[in-house]
Amino acid sequence: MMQELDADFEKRFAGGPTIRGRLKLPAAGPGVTVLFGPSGCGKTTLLRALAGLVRPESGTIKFGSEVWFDAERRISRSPQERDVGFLFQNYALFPHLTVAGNVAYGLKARRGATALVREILARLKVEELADRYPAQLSGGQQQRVALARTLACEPRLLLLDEPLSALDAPVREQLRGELRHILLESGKPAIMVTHDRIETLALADTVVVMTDGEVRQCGSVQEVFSRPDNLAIAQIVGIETVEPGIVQRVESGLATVHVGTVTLTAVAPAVLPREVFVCIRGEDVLVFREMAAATSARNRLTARVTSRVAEGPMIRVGLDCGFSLTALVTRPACEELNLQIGDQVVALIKAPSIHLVGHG
Amino acid sequence: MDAQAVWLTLKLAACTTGILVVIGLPLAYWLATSTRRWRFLVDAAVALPLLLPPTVLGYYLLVGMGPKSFVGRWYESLAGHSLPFSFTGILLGSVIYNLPFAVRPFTAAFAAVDRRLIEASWCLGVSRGETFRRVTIPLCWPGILTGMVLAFAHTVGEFGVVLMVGGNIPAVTRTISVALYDDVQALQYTAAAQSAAVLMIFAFAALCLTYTLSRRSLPL
Repeated sequence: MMQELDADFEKRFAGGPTIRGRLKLPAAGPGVTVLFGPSGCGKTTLLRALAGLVRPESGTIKFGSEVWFDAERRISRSPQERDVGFLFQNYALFPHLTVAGNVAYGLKARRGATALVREILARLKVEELADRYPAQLSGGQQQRVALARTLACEPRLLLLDEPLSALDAPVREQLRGELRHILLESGKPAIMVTHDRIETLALADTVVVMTDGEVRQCGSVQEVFSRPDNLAIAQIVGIETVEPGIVQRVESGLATVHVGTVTLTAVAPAVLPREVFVCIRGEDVLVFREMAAATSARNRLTARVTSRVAEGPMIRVGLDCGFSLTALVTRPACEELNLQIGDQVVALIKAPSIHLVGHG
Repeated sequence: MDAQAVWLTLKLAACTTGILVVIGLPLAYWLATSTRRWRFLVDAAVALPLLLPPTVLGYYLLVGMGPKSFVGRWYESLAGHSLPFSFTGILLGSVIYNLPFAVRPFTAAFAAVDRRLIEASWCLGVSRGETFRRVTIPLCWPGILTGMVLAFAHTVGEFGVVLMVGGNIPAVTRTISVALYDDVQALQYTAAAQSAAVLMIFAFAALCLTYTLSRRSLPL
């Protein structure tokens, strides 16, 4: 039987919102699930309920064959009994203990604890910090130590609450890719909360979109971003096209990327692994009837119109140009071009409008 | 100076402080973390001695512990003597009267601990009790020590409740402040001056210590 984390519960806040957590995720093996949504939508509450730090009013939470919470049967396992790792937004390192003391904290007097601490600190490349106190560490170092402390206890499930939001922008970018590696290497399923699109793209295998206390859509990165279930989700994810791509080469700051059957030119970010997500916003795609004689846009693609969906004053035009591309054009523009499904058109995308997000 | 009175005073203060640590820490932890609606009642009851004249408390204790009360009779049948005018009697009065001096600093210290540190400990599989011992207490020790120093020092300077409940029995209930009052009544100004100076210096030193402690937040 497939081990599954199965949550379906309601948490009500007096005079506040009601959070409905409905979630079914694999409960074994590596993989990062990102709970994505605007601030205040209930992501953190959902995560805390999974950890046992928040007690819902109704519903159930099951982990494989174990019942973690069942309101009717009055079962509520404590955080200690659930055996999960929780990474707090501000890392919550114990200020009175050294780095080594923090990492060893949950290990009790187990034999070989000292060696295990050293091994984990080395794995996360912070072994030279073992004798320092948390106040003497940078944000990035604190994050690693907190991760080490969590991983040392070998939890069955990792829960991370905005793990990158407490960091400065340049550090955040650098640690994003490393965090995914650490989480996959741990071999445990991880659920991470964020409100950041790029973080979601860079870290997620599965995306769970939440708004107003409800889980709205759950699927792969590409599914959720490129094929949102409805307009509300489309507006939250905010990027109309997300396709996997392979970087072929980088020359003088420009990356050549293979997507579907075509090759695109994009401005290369500082750090660029081979496997990327190619992200294109709908309003950055220009649609022409015929190929323009000369244009500054680096990417000129012949395409076929596959769908037309009205979205307020805009029309969402689905294009097949070797991969599925979505363009957002105004209603008058669409009428002027007389775009019909099946028509041949040309799509132009400027190189800086194509964002590459590493996803190794 | 009355050596017996000094010894008795220190004994009373040490016992009071010890008992206040045992009952005050759990009480303070409850006050710092409880979300019960009637918590304010307990808060107010703990703080009551701050506003109440010691004579009021002394009066109720005398009546409550006297031979006409259930508690008084029960204690007498058990211990062979009555509670008022005994060391146990003034100890009881002193514990109640000093409750806010210990519990309020304890509560403030507990309330200042980042809740996420406690939750982080739970999520690392460490029980509530162990978490209290390994995280809460180490982070709160300046506040706990402050409460202990204040309770000790305030007991040393205690007068009203001790006099009401204990009277003035040498080596049993005659503390330094009671001896000072007695000396002045008897026009023994030299002895009185000595006692006054000792109490003054002690109180000042205790306050200096608490202010140094309050500046120290973490053992770094």
